[in-house]
Amino acid sequence: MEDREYRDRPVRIVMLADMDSYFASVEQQSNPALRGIPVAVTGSGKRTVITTASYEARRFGVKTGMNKWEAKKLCPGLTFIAGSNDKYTYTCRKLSEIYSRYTSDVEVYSIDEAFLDITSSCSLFGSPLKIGELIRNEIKERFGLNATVGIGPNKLIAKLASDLSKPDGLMRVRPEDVTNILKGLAVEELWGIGRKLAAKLNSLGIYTAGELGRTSASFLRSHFGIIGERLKLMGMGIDDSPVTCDMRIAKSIGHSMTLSQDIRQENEIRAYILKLSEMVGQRARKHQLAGDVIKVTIRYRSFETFSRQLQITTDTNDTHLIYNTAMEIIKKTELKEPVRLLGVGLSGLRETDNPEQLPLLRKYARSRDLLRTVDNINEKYGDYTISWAACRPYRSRPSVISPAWRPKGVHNTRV
Amino acid sequence: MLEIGEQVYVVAAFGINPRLRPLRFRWSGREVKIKDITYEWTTSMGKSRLIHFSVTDGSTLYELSFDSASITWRIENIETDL
Repeated sequence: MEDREYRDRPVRIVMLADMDSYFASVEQQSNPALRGIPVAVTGSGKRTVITTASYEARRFGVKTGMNKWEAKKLCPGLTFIAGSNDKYTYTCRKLSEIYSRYTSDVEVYSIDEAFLDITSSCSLFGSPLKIGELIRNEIKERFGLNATVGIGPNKLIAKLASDLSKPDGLMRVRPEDVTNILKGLAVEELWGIGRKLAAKLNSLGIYTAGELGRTSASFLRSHFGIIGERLKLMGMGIDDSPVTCDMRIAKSIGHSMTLSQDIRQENEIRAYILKLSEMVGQRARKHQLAGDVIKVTIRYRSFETFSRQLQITTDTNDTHLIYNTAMEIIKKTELKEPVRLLGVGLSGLRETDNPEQLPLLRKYARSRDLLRTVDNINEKYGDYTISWAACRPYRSRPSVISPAWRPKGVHNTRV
Repeated sequence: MLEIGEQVYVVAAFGINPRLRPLRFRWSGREVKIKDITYEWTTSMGKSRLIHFSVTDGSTLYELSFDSASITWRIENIETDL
């Protein structure tokens, strides 16, 4: 029955192009002195962590998310480089252009990974492996960077093929080989199954993807709720999610900042909240979006993190309304510890009226005109050319690219 | 990496692919001949588009930028540990 389910699905050919050790490879390409040596790319802030390590550094056990001192202990010869986000976002845009020459179905999944549905491209460019090789060669020639390409009948298997052939690899898993590959594969090797979920599956006697696929959906549902069905399908190598360049309205817009030092005074918090509200408001206005739920995220020194949100009576993208609501949330929150990170978000997003409805009250009209003028100046001369005076000490840009960054749409932020 | 941020005189070639290629520049009273362009990327500052180049003369790595609005070149920073 399971095999029949597989056969009944439409045949697709999906490719994942995954850049190897992306940030570190760009830096090594940019600076020849870094080639062949262990390199770790970090954020530019004082309290930063490693965002990517080169393969030379990974051999010593250096990993993403490590502190600098931890990494240096493992690899004394490690060279740290403050990341250059402009280089990475530019290269990501250019990579998307390369992919788009082979298919119109490109989903930029993260700054260094993209799914391509090449089902209809083979008649033009050759076999899936040939297309993979063409793309890899083009990236190598243009940027000197290595990409691993995994190909499969869906995104799940394409991701698996990429993981199994990294670094600098090219692998295709055909539909008829899926069951065999999954048979002995540890469940945590499946995309979407993290350590906690794997531990819970193991505690139920499920260690391999093959075992997961053979477990009844009702058993999985009884232990994992609504994702039980999905887990079974994953164990069978089935994934119907489309490759999509979905540009529908974002659900939320948010920005956060790890502060240069822990703070707890309200006047210090206020300035950061204003800065974050401005970033959120400006992005919402740029994309003609407004929302009615304002969220504040706080991370304490101990890394305990929580969010509080408040719904307001009107949709807004006005910096001051976002700020005032966020401060209302802060005032209601009793801070137990010094704060390490602050975030502000806007959700319940809807497209603003176009042409925009004129505010009835004079003070709202003035506020709207002021924001529009500020936005126009910043659009012409660069972000934050003109800003609120209280934000001046906090003008620095975020130092690490958000995983949500995309080359287009509302998730295309300045980094 | 040492930040410089000074305007420089650059001899460059405008072609088709690549469209723009710096060849040599004068900085601190000496002429630097570019041996290799190791990376290229663009940024924008408002309406201005900046094209950045990592270039090397064989012993030092420089970052040059070209402002397409003001038609000026700058040396942004240098790295001497090549």
